[in-house]
Amino acid sequence: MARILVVEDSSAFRAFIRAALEGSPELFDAAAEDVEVVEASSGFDALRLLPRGHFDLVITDINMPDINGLELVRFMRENERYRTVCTILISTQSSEKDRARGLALGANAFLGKPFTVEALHQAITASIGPSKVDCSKAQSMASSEGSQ
Amino acid sequence: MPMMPAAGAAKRGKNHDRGPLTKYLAFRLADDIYGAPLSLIREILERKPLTPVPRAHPSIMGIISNRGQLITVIDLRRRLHLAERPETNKARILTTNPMGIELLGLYVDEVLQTYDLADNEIEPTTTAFGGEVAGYISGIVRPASVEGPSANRVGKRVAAAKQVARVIILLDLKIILAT
Amino acid sequence: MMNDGDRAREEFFSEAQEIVEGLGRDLLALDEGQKSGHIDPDLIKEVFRAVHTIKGLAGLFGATRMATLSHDLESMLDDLRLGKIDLTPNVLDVLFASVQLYGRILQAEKEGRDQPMPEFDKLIAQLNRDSAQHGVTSGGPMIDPSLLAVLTEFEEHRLRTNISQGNTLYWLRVRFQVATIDQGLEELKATAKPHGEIITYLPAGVGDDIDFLGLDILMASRATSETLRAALAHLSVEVEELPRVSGSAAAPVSMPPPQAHVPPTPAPPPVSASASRPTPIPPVHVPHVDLDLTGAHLPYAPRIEPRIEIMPPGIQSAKAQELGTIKSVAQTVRVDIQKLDDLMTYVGELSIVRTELEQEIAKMRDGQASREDRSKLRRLQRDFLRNVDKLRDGILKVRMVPLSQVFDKLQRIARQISREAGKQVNPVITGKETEVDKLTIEELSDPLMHMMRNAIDHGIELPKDREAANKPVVGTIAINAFQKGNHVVIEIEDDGQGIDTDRLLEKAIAKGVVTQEEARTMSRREILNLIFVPGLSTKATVSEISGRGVGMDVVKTNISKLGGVIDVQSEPGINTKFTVTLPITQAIINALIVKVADQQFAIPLANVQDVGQLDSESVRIIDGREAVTWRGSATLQLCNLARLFGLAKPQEPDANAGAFDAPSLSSPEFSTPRLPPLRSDSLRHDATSAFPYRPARNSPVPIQSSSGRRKKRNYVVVISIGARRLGLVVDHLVRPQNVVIKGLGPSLKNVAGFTGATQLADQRIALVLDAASLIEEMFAHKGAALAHGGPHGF
Repeated sequence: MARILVVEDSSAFRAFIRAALEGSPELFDAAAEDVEVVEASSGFDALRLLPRGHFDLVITDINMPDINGLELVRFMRENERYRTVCTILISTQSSEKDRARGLALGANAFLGKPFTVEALHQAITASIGPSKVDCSKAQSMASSEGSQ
Repeated sequence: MPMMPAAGAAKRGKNHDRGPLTKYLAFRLADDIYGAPLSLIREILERKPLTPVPRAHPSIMGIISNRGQLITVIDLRRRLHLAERPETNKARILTTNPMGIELLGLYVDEVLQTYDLADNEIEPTTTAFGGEVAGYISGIVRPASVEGPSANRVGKRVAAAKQVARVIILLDLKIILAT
Repeated sequence: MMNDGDRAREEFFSEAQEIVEGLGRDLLALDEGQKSGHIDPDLIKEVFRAVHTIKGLAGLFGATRMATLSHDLESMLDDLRLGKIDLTPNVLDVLFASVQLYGRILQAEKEGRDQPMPEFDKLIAQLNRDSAQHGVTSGGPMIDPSLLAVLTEFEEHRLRTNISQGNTLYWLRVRFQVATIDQGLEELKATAKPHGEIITYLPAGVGDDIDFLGLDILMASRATSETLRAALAHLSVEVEELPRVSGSAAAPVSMPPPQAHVPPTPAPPPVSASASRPTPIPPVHVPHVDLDLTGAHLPYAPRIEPRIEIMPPGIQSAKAQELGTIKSVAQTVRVDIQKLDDLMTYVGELSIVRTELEQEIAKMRDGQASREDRSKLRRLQRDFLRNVDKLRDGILKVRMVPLSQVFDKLQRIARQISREAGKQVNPVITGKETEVDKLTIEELSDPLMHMMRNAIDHGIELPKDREAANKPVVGTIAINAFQKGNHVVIEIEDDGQGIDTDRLLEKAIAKGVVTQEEARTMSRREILNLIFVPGLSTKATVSEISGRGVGMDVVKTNISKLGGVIDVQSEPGINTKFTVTLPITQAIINALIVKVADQQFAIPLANVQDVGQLDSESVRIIDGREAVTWRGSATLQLCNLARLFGLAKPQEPDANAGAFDAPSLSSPEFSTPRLPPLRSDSLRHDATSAFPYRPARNSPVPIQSSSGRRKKRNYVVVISIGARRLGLVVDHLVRPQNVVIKGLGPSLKNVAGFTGATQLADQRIALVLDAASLIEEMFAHKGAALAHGGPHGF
């Protein structure tokens, strides 16, 4: 099982990321039908979906209206509940500051737009890590909370 | 679901390294056998009521409705300046959209079978005809050189055995339909 | 069937189109702001984000030109939002030009054309010229690093700007229910906006209650904390003022105190391995893969010199290209979920009806039907029809989009054209929320654009001329839209010089459109309508702007194709007003089904003026054409469809099969769209084979049945567009009926006379006649008038 939340205000980008993830279940050591991609179109949307989503990975754009991606990562890092969820930030290459801040906040990877499917896969492999410790942890936490 | 011939069964027996194979659908127009890449054919439709469009190009037979979608049907025989035969109940309409612009129907006299062909079994037209040929012919195949048709047959086994053509003329649908 | 790639591509066009349209709207607002001296930073941010998104999309879908343009624009906008350059009229010009260029690039991408775009090269060169490096602001007030850590570069810049402007900073603390956060937030934003600028939103840790979310909002404002508190009181917002910071003063701008219901959270992890995570994973930076060979992703990369390409003849001329189009390339409609829910409801009800019907039919089969059952059947039929009607209307609603989609573009274009022409114009728009069918909007875009061009170019005078005429220097172009029954009316009115009817008439006589004789008896309105005749533009010189090969005749044709009419009024020196009246939807129309030979055709009732029987003996030949005296007075030109279409004579001489008596147009059968019960006799299978092949074309059909045994009765359907009328001779009238029109594919686009086709019962198809083009065709010969038809208003 791998559950991924994609936070991005461009629907075409979301569609692209979804296709890139669903097409490569091997990234998550999962069968194709076990890769679930959930889409959020804003930071608030993401905050709404996070609590019951039990996500293993959150991929978020930095530049979004209202709540930006950095704030979302910070929020996740400061919450016991989401601390171990892997995060990948995406943004344009142009803002060096945004990237540095994102990584400083504890995002697992940063991806410059526009990116190729390969780059996305690389970022995922790098952030989940070969051990998948984090994600499996997140999962065991999720399941230990039992059904709500 | 489109009624497509099932993908060919695994090739039987001696597959002595023919290289990658492409599926072609063979069909009859007037007295000759033609072929087109199966990947370009979306559906094979039974005959349907056809509405002629007055003042359209003579090779346009008219429009049919397929599950609510209107499709322009092109008479390949007229497009290729072939003889016309009276229509029989073997006639079919192949739907195809090779240009990605419009789904078109191609009227053919009969659908025969599919062939798995390797690139080296297709003779380029220049060597086959030795001279100027129409640009829409992408090559020709002599079925004798092919290791027999793939196992599946489309429709009933017609007298195909008797009318195994000496050659199958492969058509480039893009060129035919681009005009 | 669309595959994923097609779908993603379709999504790309749809989204890009939407963004570009939004961009245009934002620019108009920025333009306003620039003029009034209050530039809203949120707008600049929006524009930047829009371009940023387009850039990303373009990169994803390999739209190189779009990526290049977006990249260069982004650099400029970045400087703009970070305050390195100012929003000058020049910068705005570049932005407006870019929006137009985006539209063109999208069009070219969509059509898969790869043609040189000189205007693209020009703009890119200009953007690169303008992108001199600017000094980067630094220093300024101290900001708490933990706050800085979550601000994007832009937010940081806005924060510093507000501090330097001496605004007070506030933390607004508020708690929302997660489910309804959007509404709550919108309300808060709307309330707070007049008082200042919201810099950022920090979601505060959720406590145990995951259905609630705390938010800390950093806001900069000129207002006092009392004012702000009062303004936000009804939203239960806590307001906390931050100590003032000036320059690099002692008290830094700091993070808000933790929210009460949240246990204090540890500070954000340092850059190195974080203590808060069980397994330290070093952050990775994934190298970005450069897909684009133009160097679009390298800031200020050397650009490849624009190539000079020679256009092959026959490909679009540069002029045609310049003409541009403001058609949208998106094929999708975004739908309010509520509308879809309604549709689902009707479908649900239909399913129930279906189940009950099956039960009733089963009873009938078993011969147990009672009187009660029969009345139940009648009720079911009523329910069924009611729901089908609702479903149809619901689907039409889903297809509707507001005219603002086109009007916003018109406003933008008006700005640009008036600048080019050295005129001052104020476009005033009302009724942009009026909805029409998506297809109609698409087809309407270009005609409206040309009318706008005409209004500015031929209507509005130069500022000096206006002054001389005691008119306000700034000309007004009013665009009004409103709904009128089943139609939408769009007016485009300018307060310019009006149409010079004398010159128009002169030209018409010179060109032989009207005779001297006719000219003397023409009313002002008839003369004005000459403007729709090809080649009768009032300007002697072809101007830079309107002289682009599109006259009002083309506009009229396009509007007629949509089943619409256009009218013109004008007072010399005062105004010119064009009025376009359109049916709200093209998708479902009421049509008269007729039979010609063995083939059925549909004639849109909107174009049908009269229907009657034709006595073939009364047909006269006038000027080489068939005509009759219609209803005892006017001469009506006839068009024998069987002959025009080269259709064989119907097999059976029985003239009345499947026909009903010619109805009067006021009968309810015509006015209320309802489906009369199908008549079995009109749906008889033709004896022809499934592929009726007709090698015999253009076989003439004698007007009079050669048998002479019985006079053959034909019917005439009188169609009209504007003042022109034409009698279509058909064999039978079948029935008036609601039909769903489908367009004919590109393979048939050269066939004149049809707007589309519609499916009737039994898999048969009826072609829908294009009244406008048939009239055009039949009147296309010299003089365009019958011998004594008088001047035609066209």
